[in-house]
Amino acid sequence: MMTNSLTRTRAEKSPLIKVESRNELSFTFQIKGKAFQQGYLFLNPQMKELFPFNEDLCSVTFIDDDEVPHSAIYHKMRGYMVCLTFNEWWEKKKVCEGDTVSIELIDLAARTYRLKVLNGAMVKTTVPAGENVELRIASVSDTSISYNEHNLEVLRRMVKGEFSPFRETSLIQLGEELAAGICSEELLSLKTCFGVSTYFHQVQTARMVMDKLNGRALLADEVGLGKTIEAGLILKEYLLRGMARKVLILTPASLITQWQQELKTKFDLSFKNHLEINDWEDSDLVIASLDTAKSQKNQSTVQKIKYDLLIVDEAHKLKNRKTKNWKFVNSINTKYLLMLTATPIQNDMIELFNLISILKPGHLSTVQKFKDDFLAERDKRLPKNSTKLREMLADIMIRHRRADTLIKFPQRYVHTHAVDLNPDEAELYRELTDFIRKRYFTLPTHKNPRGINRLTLILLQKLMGSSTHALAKALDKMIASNFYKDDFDHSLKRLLDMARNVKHSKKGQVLMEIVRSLNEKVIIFTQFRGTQDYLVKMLEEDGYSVAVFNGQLSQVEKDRCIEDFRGSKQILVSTESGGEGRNLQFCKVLVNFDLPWNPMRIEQRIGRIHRLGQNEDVHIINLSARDTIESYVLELLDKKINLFRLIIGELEMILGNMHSKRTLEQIIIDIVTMSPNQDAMKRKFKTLGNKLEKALQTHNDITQAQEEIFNGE
Amino acid sequence: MDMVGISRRECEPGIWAAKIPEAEQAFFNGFEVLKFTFDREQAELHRDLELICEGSFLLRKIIEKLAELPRVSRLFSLKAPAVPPQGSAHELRVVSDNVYYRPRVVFNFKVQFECDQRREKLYSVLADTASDILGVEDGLYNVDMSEFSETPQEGMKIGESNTDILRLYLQACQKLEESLASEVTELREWGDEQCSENLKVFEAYLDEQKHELLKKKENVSFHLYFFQKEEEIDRLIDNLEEERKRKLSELRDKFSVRVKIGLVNSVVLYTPTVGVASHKPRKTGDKKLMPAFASTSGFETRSAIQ
Repeated sequence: MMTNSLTRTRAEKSPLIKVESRNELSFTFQIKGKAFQQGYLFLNPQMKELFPFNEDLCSVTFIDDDEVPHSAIYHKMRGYMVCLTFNEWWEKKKVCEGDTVSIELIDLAARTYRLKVLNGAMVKTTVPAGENVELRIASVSDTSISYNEHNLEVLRRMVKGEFSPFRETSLIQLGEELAAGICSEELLSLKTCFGVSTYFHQVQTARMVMDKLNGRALLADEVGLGKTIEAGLILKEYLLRGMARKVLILTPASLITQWQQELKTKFDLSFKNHLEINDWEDSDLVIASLDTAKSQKNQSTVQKIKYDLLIVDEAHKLKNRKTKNWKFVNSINTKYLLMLTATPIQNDMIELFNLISILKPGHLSTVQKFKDDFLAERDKRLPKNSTKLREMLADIMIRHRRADTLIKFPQRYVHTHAVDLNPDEAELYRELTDFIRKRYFTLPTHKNPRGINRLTLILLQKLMGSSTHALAKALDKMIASNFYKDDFDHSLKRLLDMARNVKHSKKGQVLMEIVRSLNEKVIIFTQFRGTQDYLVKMLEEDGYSVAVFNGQLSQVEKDRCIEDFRGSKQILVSTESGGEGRNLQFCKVLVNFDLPWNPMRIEQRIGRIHRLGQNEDVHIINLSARDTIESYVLELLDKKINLFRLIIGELEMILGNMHSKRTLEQIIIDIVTMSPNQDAMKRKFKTLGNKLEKALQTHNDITQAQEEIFNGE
Repeated sequence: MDMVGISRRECEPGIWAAKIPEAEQAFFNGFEVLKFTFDREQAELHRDLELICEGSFLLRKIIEKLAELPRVSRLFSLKAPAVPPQGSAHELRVVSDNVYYRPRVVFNFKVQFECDQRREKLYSVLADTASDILGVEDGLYNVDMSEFSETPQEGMKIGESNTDILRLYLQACQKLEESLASEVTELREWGDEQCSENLKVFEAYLDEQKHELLKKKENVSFHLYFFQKEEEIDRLIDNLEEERKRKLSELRDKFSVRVKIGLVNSVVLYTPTVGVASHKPRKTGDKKLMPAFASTSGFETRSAIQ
């Protein structure tokens, strides 16, 4: 109770509060003076023990017995709290001077305390030590608003008089204004794309996904229209606007490196693949194969993470909701989701339903209802009520056709030169093939630990298909290594001698004739450095200016090489790494001096010059030696699946229709190594050719069916 | 870069190389040496360079880094002295010929709104310590440096303010929250609407699925393998319930409103003011109990704002 104000002692005049009782977790005091009403709580040393914080300024929350929170700032040095709503509490509870109030610790980590008036009675409040107190907050104030901890650091500086030069303060302000001003209509990601000519349909897609589809969409443009670019634009836009931080991209394993490179070179984004990360949770930008992400080792970790954006490439692999793939992707927690596929329907309309169910469950109602409403009885790929279906799909799917984009797609012209090997080359080829066929199943054993392994044998076969110079170089290294110290060694030496004795390469001669007939820039691809060295020497001796590109060059050297080719040099001789992500569309002629057995690599070579952005028709010149494995491979790819005339991206879809667990290259290797003779090999290649033709036909059927569904044609 | 201790040099025209201290390397993706340019054409030619320009990721990272640095400055107006605005007590004042610097405090805030979509807005609150007037404006406060200096004029005192900076900050926050209230309410209503719409579609879908499964279960009892099939259907129904819970939680999280307020920086603006003799504090219940507090750096007892 307050004494008469005329006779108040010094202690009574002081705003510091006298503690009535105290224990580890609480204290009670008699409230006095106007300080509290004005929002101030002064702490004496006893009370300060209940606020054991290190910072000069910190936030503290008081919860009153109506569960209303009161936010205060504690000035440790000066020993007081300031809170604007103490007065409200005072009035609500009709607190008077002299009333006893208790402050009780609820949660030290959250810096939360209970504030109670004890009806004027001096009652000791005790909280049993160690008892957990449940924090219940039902606030009338807006709990959706929070403040950065950083704010108090700014205040602390002001309180302490730690002023900085204005240029520093204004620089921070400028940064925030830049970042805020960036929320404009224009896509920010466009400003920092490299080597990307973005087309209207791509920009339109990006805007539509962000503005209308809330970041969840099926990107189903036809092949060759740049779905990856669209996904990249959306991804980068979300990152730049701060709307996404944690991103996961799931792709087939074979495309991981390609995605990584494209994102880096075109969008300046560095993604890590699953081999480069220690912890899925710690890495913000990750790209992985679906199989890796859903593996037993990683699945539960990935499912626990809250992603901002998930991109699934080749999403048609999720067409069956009963598969682990579907269930896994459906279980990933993500705010935004992009699914990319040029073929959302391959065999059955239900596949489309299953894809949409991941994006927006219930959008197409249930399976049964979807079947009843939209499936035609005669053909699972054809819809009824297609107009209504298209309307519903417009809220979740974006699909552009090449015909709709008004983009001029240049033609690919293919010129194949079948070359007859010189007699010495032909003999070497036969000897080597025979050698490989006999040795292929002779694995290294404990008696013969230094047998050549299968990969090496296949490599020798490929080297021969490239050039005798590449073969000679490899054989030389193998012999010099002293590893093959058995009868193989004698055979290898014989082959090496034969290779060295080959005077002229027929393919080389044909190449020179071709180059002499052209009066423009040419890219020549080869798989092997040995062949590259030979070609460069031959061309330079003939007076041509040659730029040389391979994986051994440093980044700076690579840049310079491309610039030289763009500038003064007429010919670029490159290994497979050539031009990745670089704009080589100023060149229109490409020569495949040798052919990889993996058609995707051939596609990638062609894609350096024939892609969106190329305005002129391109010419692809293939060199292959008759009656060699390369000639059979070329026939398969050219005649059976029309590889060189496909739109970029179609090849993979066609190969996918083979439904084989082995890649095409693996199938080819098996044919080469398991055929007892040349005739048997030819027959097997023919069978493979038939399968590829069928795969192409299936692809064409699917394309047509989709035209009917999505465009009513 | 100076502010975080990064040294740099121009190694070629338009191309810079910066040495990153170990403490900052993690932030800059592990780079020890960062080569960068502000010129897009250079960056296109030399793909090993990092581009800093509007829309570049690196610029965003730099701005993020800057935002972590707390900064406060003070500026002194070069304008002629003026009479201070009246305080809340409307009484006759005696004006003296003393001129002193009167402080006003600018709090620059960044407000992030998040409810599915995310946007940021900037506000400034200018607090006049003499009149307790707090005004909230859109955008950060722009100082015209032609009107200010970082050093005070000789001979002019910095006036005492009876305002507690912490209280002033809290009042600024309160004012800001008041100005945001309608926007937050609108956003919350939108979020609630979206959440319930999405949930409605999803629940209808789940209910329909459950209904179909139950129908299947009825039919199954006529078959020999009905135990196994029934079990399977029960499992599917349980899965639907799990999915319902998960989706509900996801939707609530996605459409809940979150507003985060950050103090970008603060500037104390000192304005030359013609002195007003301050009245002596009266010993009444209306007395504003707010003594001035000294800073810890050994200043004489004055307002924390000095």
